[in-house]
Amino acid sequence: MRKYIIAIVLLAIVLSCKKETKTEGYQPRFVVEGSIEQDGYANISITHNLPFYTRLDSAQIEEIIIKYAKVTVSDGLEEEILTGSYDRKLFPYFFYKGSSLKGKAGRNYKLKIEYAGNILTAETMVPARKNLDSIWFENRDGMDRQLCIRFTDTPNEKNYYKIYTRLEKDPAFTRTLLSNQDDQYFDGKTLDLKLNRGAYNNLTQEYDSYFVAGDVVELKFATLPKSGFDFWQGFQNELLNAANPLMGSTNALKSNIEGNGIGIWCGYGSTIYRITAK
Amino acid sequence: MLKLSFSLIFSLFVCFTFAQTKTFSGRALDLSTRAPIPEVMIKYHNQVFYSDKEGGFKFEIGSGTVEISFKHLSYKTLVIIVPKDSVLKRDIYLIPKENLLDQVQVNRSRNAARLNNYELITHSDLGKKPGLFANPDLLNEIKTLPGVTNGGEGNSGLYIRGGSSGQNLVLFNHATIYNPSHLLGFFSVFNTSAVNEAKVYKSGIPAEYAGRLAAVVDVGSDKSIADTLSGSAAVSFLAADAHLSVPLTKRWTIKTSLRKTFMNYSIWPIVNSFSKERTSLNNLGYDFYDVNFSSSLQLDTQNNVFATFYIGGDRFGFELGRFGIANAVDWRNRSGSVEWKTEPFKNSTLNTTAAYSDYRFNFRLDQDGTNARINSAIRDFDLQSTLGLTLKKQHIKLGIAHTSHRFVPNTPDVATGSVKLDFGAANVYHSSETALFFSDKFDLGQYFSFLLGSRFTYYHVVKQVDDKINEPDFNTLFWEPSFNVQYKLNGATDIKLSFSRNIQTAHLIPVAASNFPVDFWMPSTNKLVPQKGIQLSLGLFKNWGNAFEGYVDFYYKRMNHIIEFNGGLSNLLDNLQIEENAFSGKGYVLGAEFFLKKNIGKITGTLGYTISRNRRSFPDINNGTEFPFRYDRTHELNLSANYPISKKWNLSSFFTYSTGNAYTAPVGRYIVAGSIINEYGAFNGARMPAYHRLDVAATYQFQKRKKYKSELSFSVYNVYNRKNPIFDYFQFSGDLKSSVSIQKKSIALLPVLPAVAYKISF
Repeated sequence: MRKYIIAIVLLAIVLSCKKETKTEGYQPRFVVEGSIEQDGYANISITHNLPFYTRLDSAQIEEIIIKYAKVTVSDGLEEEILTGSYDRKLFPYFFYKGSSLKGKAGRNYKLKIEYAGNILTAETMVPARKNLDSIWFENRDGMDRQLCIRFTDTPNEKNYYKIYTRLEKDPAFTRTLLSNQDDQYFDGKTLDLKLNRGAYNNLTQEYDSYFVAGDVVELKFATLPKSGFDFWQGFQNELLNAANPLMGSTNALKSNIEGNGIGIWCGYGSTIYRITAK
Repeated sequence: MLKLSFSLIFSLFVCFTFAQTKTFSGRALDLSTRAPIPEVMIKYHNQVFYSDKEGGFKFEIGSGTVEISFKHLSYKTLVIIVPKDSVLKRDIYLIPKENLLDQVQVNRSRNAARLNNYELITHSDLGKKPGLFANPDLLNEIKTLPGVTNGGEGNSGLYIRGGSSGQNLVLFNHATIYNPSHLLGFFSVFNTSAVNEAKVYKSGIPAEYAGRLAAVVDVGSDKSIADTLSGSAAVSFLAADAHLSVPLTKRWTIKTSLRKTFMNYSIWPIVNSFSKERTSLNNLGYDFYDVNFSSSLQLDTQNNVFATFYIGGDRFGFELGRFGIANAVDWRNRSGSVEWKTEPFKNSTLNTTAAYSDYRFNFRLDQDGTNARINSAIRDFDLQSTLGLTLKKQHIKLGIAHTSHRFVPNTPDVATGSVKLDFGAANVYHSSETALFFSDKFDLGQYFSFLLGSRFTYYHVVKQVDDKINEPDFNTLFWEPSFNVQYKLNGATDIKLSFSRNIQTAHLIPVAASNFPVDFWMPSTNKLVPQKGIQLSLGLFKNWGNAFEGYVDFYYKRMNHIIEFNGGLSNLLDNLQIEENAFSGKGYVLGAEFFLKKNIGKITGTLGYTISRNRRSFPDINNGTEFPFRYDRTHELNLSANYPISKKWNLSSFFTYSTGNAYTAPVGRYIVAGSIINEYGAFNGARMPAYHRLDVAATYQFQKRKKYKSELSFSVYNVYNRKNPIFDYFQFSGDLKSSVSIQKKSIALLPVLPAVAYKISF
């Protein structure tokens, strides 16, 4: 009996010396972020993913941007091959832009990306845009002003909304903190939302929830299809909850890209408002 | 199979009918407290018997004058002479030994006496190990047993032989306690002064307990009738605690225990002062209270009524400063029970209990203008009646039980601005279990003892929609057999084999992404069928006189239709139907437990080690490939030691080590909308660092006064300040145009924590 116990204990010691298995499972994939606006042109950026522990510096970032893909958008009748374009203020600074095929409400658009033998496809719909009932600022501490909006959901119709803001000086729109809305729970109702600004990205921890009196603010109120809502909801969940031990986040974002890729190809019906914080 | 069991019951009844003999019976009671004394060793000729948990005994004696001895480690041995033709039914009063310090030895060599391998923890066992902040606690004591593990820091769930915390049936005076913990493993809901004893069944679960796949923890309060007013009070850095026992009449005693923490005024302000930066958790807060009340009434020598109620509540919250988000969870247990014990006819006991249990769990998330809540609740009514029959060579139990449950698994409530989001009617389920059970304990020859059990349950569930009860959603009939056999190799060594098949109809939905216990209970429906499991265990138990005792116990467990919920709490906020998002799969656990206890010498203590393998496979997770259970513990080691320096000073220490939790780690990254997004790898594919910790305590007993005694305890939790992380996350900083750095952030809750507590009792 004693011998047996000794043997088991020895076995346990040997087992405990076994190296812990490292996380494996990285698979190289393309990352697509594409949009087509109602009355606007398609805009696509393509990058690829990286193993988790790769160093991320400017050289590496340069390398993940795909610049030589053939990107085609079609609505079933017309087809357009997008052309590469640069804007150094943005990331990724290289993207593919349309110039002839405009998004029309209610119509479906197919995306095809061909690159180094890979083919990625996706399909989306451009929903009709929706107007806000009103937009205003509410006073907060000192000079802080909170942006508020009111809109009325169309009854008995499935709608998804996404809200962005930007300051005049910003190069692009930034989603608000809780920027996605699903009318499942407010079908046909009038909704007042007090908006908090979102961080530009998750590389910075410092940002302001409110605007300051005097700011010239643009607000983008967009409708989007379910696939887009699901993707951006997952994105928001990852940003907000991955660092929250109570909520947590371990889910993959719901991509609508077919082929060896992840990301989103999404149609939007956007209305842009401009207002000065007083 | 059903037929076979019925015929078995029938044949046993036949045995009973023909067994007509003269018996000597009664109860073994404590002379000073009149409390029943279980497991008194009773010797008559060459036969040995043990009193049952109510102190009762019953056995055959010869027709002439006989001599019977009553032996118990905490009492002076009593030898009685029963003359020919004297009264054959009487209570035996035993005189307690002076030195109560020896009470811990009550447990000694009990193992061998127990047919099925349950662990017994008595009130006096608590406090032998250093409790956090000098507070001994029942669940913490249970967690030091081999095969029982904690869920890591911040998680006070019990994980027994590889089961989840929702696979244990936790009973407090017969009422089910759905969440037995106050958070962070500081305390359990069982106030030490309200606990008399706890039985932990890890295998061979007896038929009188309703099905759970992992284990049963049956906690009982002290039922004894007190003869004097007594009480105690303790104050520490964290909590205050008071206990009072009042004899109303000679046959009626009431007892109450109250406890309230004030950590929001003591520990949390200190902890929070270290986490001012926006990158971590801010404004942590946590407090709880609980109240126990019991009434013990002896109607006559054959009728006792014992009634209890418990109420306790917790609130835990923190903020994520950088998002302006405040999170909080609060939960509340309420339970009550009435137990009536009577002796309907000779050689029998009838135990009837009515119990009530109500558990509520609320989750809150507040973010400027948006307030989200998820509420979850369960309410149970339980009625059970058990008839115990003591025959010549067997002890039979027959019973009937009915439980009705009302589940409200998750009711979201979200208000954004002035608009309340419409989630429709809450999901409400009504389920019931009606069971018949039976067990028989008997010896076969000199070496073999058996305990056989059978439980038949009819389960039924309906879903309530808008105050209307729908047609039966799902119903089923199932059988839970159990089998225990003990083979006595010699006086000091036993081999025990046990088997049980258990079926569980209530599911605790494990929120995989959350690192704190969040409780959403769901009944079985046609989409979420009952969990099924079998367990087989084989062990060798040995005593080396009074000096050492030890065991090796091997177990194998197989489970079907178990549940994983691969999502976060946010999924529960907008997903009304849990069953649509829960995955069903199967799993197995294989393990060996080693335990050694030293009872003699200056230093006494225990050493427990468990090696196990706990795997799951779900068709919808990891493409069906096997993955480790989140609380898979390859190794688990517990070491405790006690050293009385002098009559006044006592030192104790406790060390624990276990393999870290499995979790889902990121394996890749990509950039979307300028933000870095994690790509997660295999489910539970990575491991947290091992959990280990050392606690020490010193207790000083003041000179005993006439009317009261008092003690002062000093304790240090996590002596070497081990940071046991509960959660890892990654924080990015920099700029995509130049370079981005990634920092791994670990959240560990409890650093080295010294504490002082003062306790007074009268």
